[in-house]
Amino acid sequence: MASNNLDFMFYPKSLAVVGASSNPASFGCDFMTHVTSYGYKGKIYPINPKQSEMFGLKAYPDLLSVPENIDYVISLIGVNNVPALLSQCAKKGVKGVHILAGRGAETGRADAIQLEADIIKAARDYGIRLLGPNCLGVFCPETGLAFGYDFPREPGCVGGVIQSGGNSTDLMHIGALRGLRFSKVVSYGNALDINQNDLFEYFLNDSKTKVVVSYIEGLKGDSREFLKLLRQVTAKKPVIILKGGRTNAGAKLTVSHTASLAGSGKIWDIAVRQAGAIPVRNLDEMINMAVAFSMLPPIKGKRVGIAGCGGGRSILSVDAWADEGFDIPALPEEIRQELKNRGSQIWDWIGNPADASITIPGDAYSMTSITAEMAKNPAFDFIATDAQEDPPFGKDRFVQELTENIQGFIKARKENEKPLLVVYDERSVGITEAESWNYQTRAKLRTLLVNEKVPFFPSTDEAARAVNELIAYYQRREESSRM
Amino acid sequence: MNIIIGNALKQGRNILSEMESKQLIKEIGIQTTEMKLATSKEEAVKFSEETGYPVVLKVASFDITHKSDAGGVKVGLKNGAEVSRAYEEILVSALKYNPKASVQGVTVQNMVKPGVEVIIGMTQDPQFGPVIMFGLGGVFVEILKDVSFKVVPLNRRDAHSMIKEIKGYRLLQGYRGQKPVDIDYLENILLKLSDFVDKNSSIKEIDLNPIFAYPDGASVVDARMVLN
Repeated sequence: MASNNLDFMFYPKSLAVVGASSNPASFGCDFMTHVTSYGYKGKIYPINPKQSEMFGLKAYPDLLSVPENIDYVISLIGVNNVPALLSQCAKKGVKGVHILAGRGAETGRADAIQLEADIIKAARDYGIRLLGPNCLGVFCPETGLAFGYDFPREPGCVGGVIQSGGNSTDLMHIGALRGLRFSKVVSYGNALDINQNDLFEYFLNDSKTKVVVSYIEGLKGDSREFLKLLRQVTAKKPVIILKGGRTNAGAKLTVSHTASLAGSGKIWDIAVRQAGAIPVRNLDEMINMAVAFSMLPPIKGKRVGIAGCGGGRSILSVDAWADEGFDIPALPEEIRQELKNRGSQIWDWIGNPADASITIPGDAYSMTSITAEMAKNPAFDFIATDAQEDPPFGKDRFVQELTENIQGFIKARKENEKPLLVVYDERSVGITEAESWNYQTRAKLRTLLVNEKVPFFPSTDEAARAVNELIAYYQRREESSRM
Repeated sequence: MNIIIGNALKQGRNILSEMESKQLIKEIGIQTTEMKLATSKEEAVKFSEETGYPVVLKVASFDITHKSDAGGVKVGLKNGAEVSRAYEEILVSALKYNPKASVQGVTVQNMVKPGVEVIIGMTQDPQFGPVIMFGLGGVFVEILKDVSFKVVPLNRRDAHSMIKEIKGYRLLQGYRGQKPVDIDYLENILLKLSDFVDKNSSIKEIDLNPIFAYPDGASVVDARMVLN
């Protein structure tokens, strides 16, 4: 009987790469690179009848030639060859096989569907778990397993249940730029055996995972069981779900992508929310939510203190927060008094939002000081700071002020319990801009934010939507515990 | 309950009559009208006296679904003479509307006082199974589609939030002199219905429309159920 334990794919003591190769144009080479460059410490057996060694390791012509038993097999060969591979796996004590190859049931072809049926039957007979087919497999930085280049190596607390390989890779790359770090991300494809229910159940009990993100095209296994599991998970940790094929147009494509049916659109969102999860509409929203939930503490109310924008941008910021139902309280009198006592010339003018454009060099009022005061004050539930993009200065003053402001925000966050986020514009720049002092400075400070694990969002709208979900989630959890 | 369902299936139909549906509703513990089937005008009068005036008479026929259109509904009948005349008029109208209809008789039920009209229903989602719907009655659901859904099984929070999230919620809280309705009672109806369909996979669709909500409870005025 196949084990429900998924440790074989997250913590394998040994693994074989079937179809391993040193030919740079092949998946076999990519995967050998991945398993040897993220720090995996277990035994690696490259399997390739045409090579006796690669990547400094002894290679074997087939699984049976490997002297020891093997925990986990990454199979890069065509699906047609998988049944034969499985019978070899059975003799080597293999607990699970990741089938990367596609062109299975998602083609809709009868013979491919039959082949998948044969594969799952063989796996069940042998007691071997299967991941895929048609998927990129496991990313577990703690163990040193990955399926792409330049994934963030530092382990973190975000778990991923992703039905698409491409979306997984994007999640890792784009998420990493925002400071997301991952516990385990599984690209699970056609879900012939291991499906989203197995993975959610795993993350329910995985203490290293504090937030779960998921991309689902079609549910495999029992849909009502999925909702039940989802309820259990959301009671312990936030779950963010992106549905592929929400629209009728998109739904048609899910069959040819992962051989799964998208199901009816309207009830999906309702069902997922009812189970306590957060539905999102695209990858950017998923990442925004993951940043909020993994990098902000629970926020208990909607009173925001804003600092860092100039005059016009402040007004837009207020509109954006107010649009999402947040309150922008007046700056408490004690803060004005405090800055007056420190000799500020504009103590009577400042307010909330704290306007960055009215600062006078040397005055007690600065973005650093005002953020620090706001972060200490009970009038605000959280602080939204802003790294205004284009203050009208030349290089030196720009670099100095932006750097000081960002460092001031980081300091206020470190020294207070008050939740604090940054709004940091994203721009896709050309090579000339990338080399300019303006964008170089912004890029450096952005990296500083990532290194300091400060949550930041590309726009106020996105920050506001994410904080709304954060507040609602923790409120609901608190209500549940009182029920 | 199983008897009612079994009977219908044996007769080769998957639609339960209003009386059968209300019987099931009552068995679940939801307040509804007392219905009896009269097969003569004398019987109709007898049942009316037993139930208490005013009463409502409706044609009992599986072949006539839009009873009002067929002239098959008479409300506010205050005494035996009105009941007697109504009985005859109903049968005449029904025959004219659909000469081929098979008519079992005329149902007699107590007429409840008006309240705030709500709708509670159940359908099957192909993926997630039974789904419960809530909305305010009449134009709110028909034209504005101001309804909420939740997937079975519902808990108290689900029932509470699905009522609260409809746009017309304030109407339940009391509006223009009308007292607020018993929202707890409506929540209980939702929960009981959820429980019922969770345990009974033979039900395909339920339509409780309208339900009159009062400050001290609610009554299901019309009920329709479809079996799998």
